Amino acid sequence: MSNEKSEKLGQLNKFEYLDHTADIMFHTWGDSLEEALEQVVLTMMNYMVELETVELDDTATEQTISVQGHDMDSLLFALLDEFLFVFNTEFIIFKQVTIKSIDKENFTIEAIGKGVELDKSKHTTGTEIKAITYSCMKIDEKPDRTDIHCIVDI
Amino acid sequence: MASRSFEEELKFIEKIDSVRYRVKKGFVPNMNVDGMIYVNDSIKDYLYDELEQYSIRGVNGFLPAVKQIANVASLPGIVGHSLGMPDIHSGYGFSIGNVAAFDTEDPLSVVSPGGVGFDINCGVRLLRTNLTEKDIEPIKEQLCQSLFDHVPVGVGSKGVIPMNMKTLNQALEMGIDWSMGEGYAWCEDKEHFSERAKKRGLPQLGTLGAGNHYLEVQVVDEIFDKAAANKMGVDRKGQICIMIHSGSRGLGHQVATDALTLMEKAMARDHIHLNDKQLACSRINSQEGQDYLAGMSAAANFAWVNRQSMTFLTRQAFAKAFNSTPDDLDMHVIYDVSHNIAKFEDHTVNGRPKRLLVHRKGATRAFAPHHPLIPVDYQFTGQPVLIGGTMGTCSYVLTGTELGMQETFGSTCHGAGRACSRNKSRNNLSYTDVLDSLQSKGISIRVASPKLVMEEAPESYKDVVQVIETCHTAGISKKAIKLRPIMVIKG
Repeated sequence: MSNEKSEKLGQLNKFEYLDHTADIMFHTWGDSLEEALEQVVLTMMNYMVELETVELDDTATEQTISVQGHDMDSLLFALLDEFLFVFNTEFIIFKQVTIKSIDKENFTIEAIGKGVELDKSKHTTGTEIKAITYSCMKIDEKPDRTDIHCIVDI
Repeated sequence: MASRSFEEELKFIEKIDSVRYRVKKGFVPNMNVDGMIYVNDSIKDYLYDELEQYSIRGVNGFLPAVKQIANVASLPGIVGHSLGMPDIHSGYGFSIGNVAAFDTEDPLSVVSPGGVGFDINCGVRLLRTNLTEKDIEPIKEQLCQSLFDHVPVGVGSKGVIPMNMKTLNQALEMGIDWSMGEGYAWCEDKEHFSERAKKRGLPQLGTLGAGNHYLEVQVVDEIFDKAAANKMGVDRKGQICIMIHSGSRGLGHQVATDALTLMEKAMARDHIHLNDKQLACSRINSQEGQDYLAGMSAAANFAWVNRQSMTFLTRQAFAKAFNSTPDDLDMHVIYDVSHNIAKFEDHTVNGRPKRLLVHRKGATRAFAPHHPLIPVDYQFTGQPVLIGGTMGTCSYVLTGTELGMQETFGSTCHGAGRACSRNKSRNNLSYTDVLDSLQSKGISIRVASPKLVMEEAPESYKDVVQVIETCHTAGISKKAIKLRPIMVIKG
C-alpha cells in the first residue's frame, strides 16, 4: 500500500483482509486489546465504504456505542453488530473509533465513533456486510500485542 | 477431533455413479444419516481440494463443505440424507448448497438459522416480456442506465417506496398482499420479531443490495423443453426476460443474527453439544425455535415484497423506455423462488408419509408435476426452478421431477457457487479486463462498487453449465430454458 493511500485511511493502519471462499476474514492487531478492537471496527467500515474517500469534515458527528456480551467472543460480536446496525439504519460511516472502557468481568464495552453520513457522490462504496459470525473468531491478547481474527458474512 | 490424512478421509467418501457421492457415517462423530453430494467430474475437484487443504492445515480455519454436510447429518431428527447440491461450498455452519430435512414427529428435531442462511428468502424472480433482443438494441444503454436509476443498488442505498414502521409492519404481516393493496403488485403476482431487525429493514425495502445480487435483462438463448417453456409464456429464442436476484436485506440478516445469538445462549444453558458451534439450533417446538420460525416467515415476506417492489420499478422503467405500459409489454411474473428458507412440507420417507421441516440453504425447491403445492399453470410441467448465473454467464429455468421428490425432498441447485475467494478475485483480475470481456459479449453493465466487478467476475465462480448438467444428469431437475444476459445492474 502506498504511503499516500495509508495516510488517507486515517486511524485504520493495523489490518489485513484474509481469504475465505464466500466470505471475508478480518485480521487486526494493536499494542493493546483496545487498539485491536478499534482497528477491527474500522476494518469492517472500510470494507463497506472505502475510508480513504471519507473525510471527517465539520459535518462529522460523534456517537457513543455501549454493548454487552456473555464472554469475550460475544462481546466482540456485539461491538461489530452494533456498529453495523448504526451504519445500516443511520448511514453513518465511522472513520475514528475510541474504546473508552472495557469491563472484562461483566463483558461490556463503551466506545465512541466519529463519522459522517454516507454520501455516494463523494464516497466509494464497497461490499455489503450481512452479518457478523463466530466463524474462526479469535482474540489473542498478550501483554504487548493483541491480534483479532473474525469472519463476516457477505 | 483427531485429524486424519487426506487418504484416510477419502475412505469415507464413496462414488455411487457419475454424479453421486455418499459421505459415510463415521466421517465425523455422531452422524445419524449418510451425506449425499451431487457433483460431476468437472466440478468435483473443488470439493476434494477444500478437503485436502483442510487435511494439511488441520482443524484451524474454516471447515470444508464435505465436513459441514457430515456435521449436519449429526443433528437430531434429521431424515434421509444430508444433501449437497453441485454448487456446494463452505458456509456458516451449514454449507451453501445443503438440504436437510427434520422429522416434526421427533420431539428432538431441530431448526437451525445456519441451515437457512443470513439472507432469509434470498431468491430469484423472473419476468417475461413480449419484446425481443432487436427491440432492445437501439435503446440498450439508455434502458440499462434507466434501470440502474430506478432500482436502488449497492451499499447504503435507500428504498424509494415510502415506508414507515406502520406500513412496514403491514408488509411483514401480509407479504405480497400488502404490495397489492399499495398498487405495487398485480393481482396474479400473488399466487414476530425484534425492533432491531425492523429498523434495519425500514430504509431498505425495494433495494437490490450488493454482493452477488443483481437485476439482469436476459435473452432466451435456448429452449430445451418446449411444452414447459410455452406454459411460462416463453415461445421463441430472442425473447426478453428480466431476472431479479435479491433477498430480505438487513432485516433478514438481523433476524438471523439475533436468533443465532439467542440459540447460542440457550444451547449453553441446555448443555447441547454439537460437532460445530456454528450449527446453533433449537428444538422445533422450543420457544427459541418457534420465535425463529416466526421471524423467518416475516423476513421471507419482506423479501417477497422487496422483489415485488423492484418488479414494480422495473415495469416502470420498461414502460417509460418503450413509451408503452407494462401490460402491453406482457411483463408477467413467470415465477419467484427462494433459495434460503426452511419450510414445513409433506414427503415420503421410507414409504411413510411424514411432515418434515426442510432446510434449503443455497438450494431451490423443485417440486414434481402434479404436486398440490404448485400453481395450476405448472401442474403438468413441474415447478419452475430459477437458477441465476453469475455476472456475464447464462441463467436457467429448470423444472422439478419425481426423482427429485424421492431423493432430495424436491430440491435442486441454486446457482453457480463460488469457486475462489473474493480476495483472490480482487488480486488476480483487473477491473478493465472484466469489463472489456463483458463488453465483448455484448453485455451492458452498471455497478455501484468497482471492486465488486472483480469479486463477482465469472472467473470467481464454478461453471454454472456443469452445475446444471449435474442436476439434469442426476434427474433431480430438468432443463427447460437457457437465458443469456445483455444487461447487468449490480450493487
